[in-house]
Amino acid sequence: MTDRSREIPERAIPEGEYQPPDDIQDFLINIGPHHPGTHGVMRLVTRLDGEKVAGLDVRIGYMHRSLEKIVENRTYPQVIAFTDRTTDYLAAMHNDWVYCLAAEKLLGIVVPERAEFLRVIVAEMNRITSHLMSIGALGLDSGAPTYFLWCFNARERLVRLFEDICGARLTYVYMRLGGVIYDAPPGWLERVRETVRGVIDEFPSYRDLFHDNYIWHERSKGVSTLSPEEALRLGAQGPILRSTGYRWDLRKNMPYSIYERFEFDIPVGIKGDVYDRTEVRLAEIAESAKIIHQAIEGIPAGPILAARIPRVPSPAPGETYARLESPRGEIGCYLVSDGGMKPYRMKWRGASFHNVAMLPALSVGYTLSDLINIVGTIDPVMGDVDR
Amino acid sequence: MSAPAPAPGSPARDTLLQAARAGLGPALIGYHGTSDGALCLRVQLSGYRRAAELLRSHGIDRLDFITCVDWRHHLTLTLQGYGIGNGLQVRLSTRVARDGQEVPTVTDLWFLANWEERETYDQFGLVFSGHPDLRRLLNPDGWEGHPLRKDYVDRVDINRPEYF
Repeated sequence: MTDRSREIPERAIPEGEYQPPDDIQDFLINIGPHHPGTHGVMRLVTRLDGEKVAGLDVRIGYMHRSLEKIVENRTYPQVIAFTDRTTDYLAAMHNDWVYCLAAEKLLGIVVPERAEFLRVIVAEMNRITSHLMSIGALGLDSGAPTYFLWCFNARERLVRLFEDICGARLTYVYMRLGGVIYDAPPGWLERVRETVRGVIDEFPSYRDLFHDNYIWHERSKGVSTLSPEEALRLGAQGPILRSTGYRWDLRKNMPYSIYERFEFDIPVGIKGDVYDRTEVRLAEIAESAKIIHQAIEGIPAGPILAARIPRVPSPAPGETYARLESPRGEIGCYLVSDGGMKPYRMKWRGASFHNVAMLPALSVGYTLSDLINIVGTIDPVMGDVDR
Repeated sequence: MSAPAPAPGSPARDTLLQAARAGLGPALIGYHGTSDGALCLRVQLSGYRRAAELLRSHGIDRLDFITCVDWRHHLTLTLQGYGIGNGLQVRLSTRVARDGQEVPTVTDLWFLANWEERETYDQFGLVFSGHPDLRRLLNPDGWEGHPLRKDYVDRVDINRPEYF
């Protein structure tokens, strides 16, 4: 048998400009639902013109676990076990908190001071862990797996602190109606302060590895730029809106709990592209660290749970809505009560649901590899999208 | 660019209320304010679309949700939004018959209404006329029934292979 491996056919590549044949059409490609780059089970039916995305149909529902139907058959305290794992499980504290805010409004419960401070501390720690996860996963999607592990290393130190206070690493069920269930163990607050400072001290090396890396700049700057007007038209929220330069954060603009007592900035971007969204998340970690520091300085002694809450509370008939700023944007809980001991209707307003709805508008015209990065910066958690 | 801190909402709220009373007439059944400053408007279905347009033109530019509550005898369709500029939070609700009634879409007013209405159709069976793409969102394609209705009986055995 003659060895033909070294034969190079003549004129394998035609000279001059390559003209595709006339019958080339758009290309339909299916990404997902099982795909490492979609941040969960999400199906992106993509129409490609060459390598550019010409159209995108987002199909969700693979993680739909009928949260809203389930909680119609649970008592008000039991719902908390569902809101933190069925919705946005990477920001579980925020989800429990927004449900507790809504239920406490319905029931007329006032949360004691120390519990408010503890809620703020754990929620901001959760924001840091969520952003670290988001930025790290973005690094992984872009081909920087080392950075992913660095972020997870930092996240691990914070997650162990969560384990110390409430026993769980990801889904906490720490907030209850009227406060929080466990007080900080001795020395925990000091350890939180040191750990958070340690995470911030690592920022120069993060910048050196990933955020100031010219490869990342080439991949991310100018991708999926968004103007503030377009962002507002699309209903963008959270870091996506702030990356366009529009300074809107519910902690400052519609304050809840005790956020008015803390001094912190709202980082904004300039162009709203993938690079700015990542920078905004990184800067928000530093701002959360400031809030945690101030909360630890000012936390008072006292009870952590409001007194005399019945085991099976039954609010008077009515409806209420509570909203707060989670790491992904604005989440809300609409609770309707008919006077019974179970919620008559709970509508969960998830941040990722609307972020993912915006995905076609953000990604048409950019390449397929950019699409993965855009999905990463939208940072969807499918639990919040599908519930 | 930044948004102003939301005012208590009184001037914007009064303007909206006046416009609602003028523009809706008898379609406005009632209104009340909640303890956290939201304004709740109850309208008849005939005035729902006009009320939504009024909200949009009075600065309610962010949509929180569109959903239904099944009160067994009827459904209540609720829409909530707030204005970034004026800090006004408004909840609009209307009664809809349980079967056979169509509701006008508000997809052209708010971008996010598209998926919210699809989810409401999926879970409650409420058809939004004029919606560009009304199909199921959360439940699998080909699902029978509308799960969040109170009379929903799960006839589907989820362990059947075609639903994997």
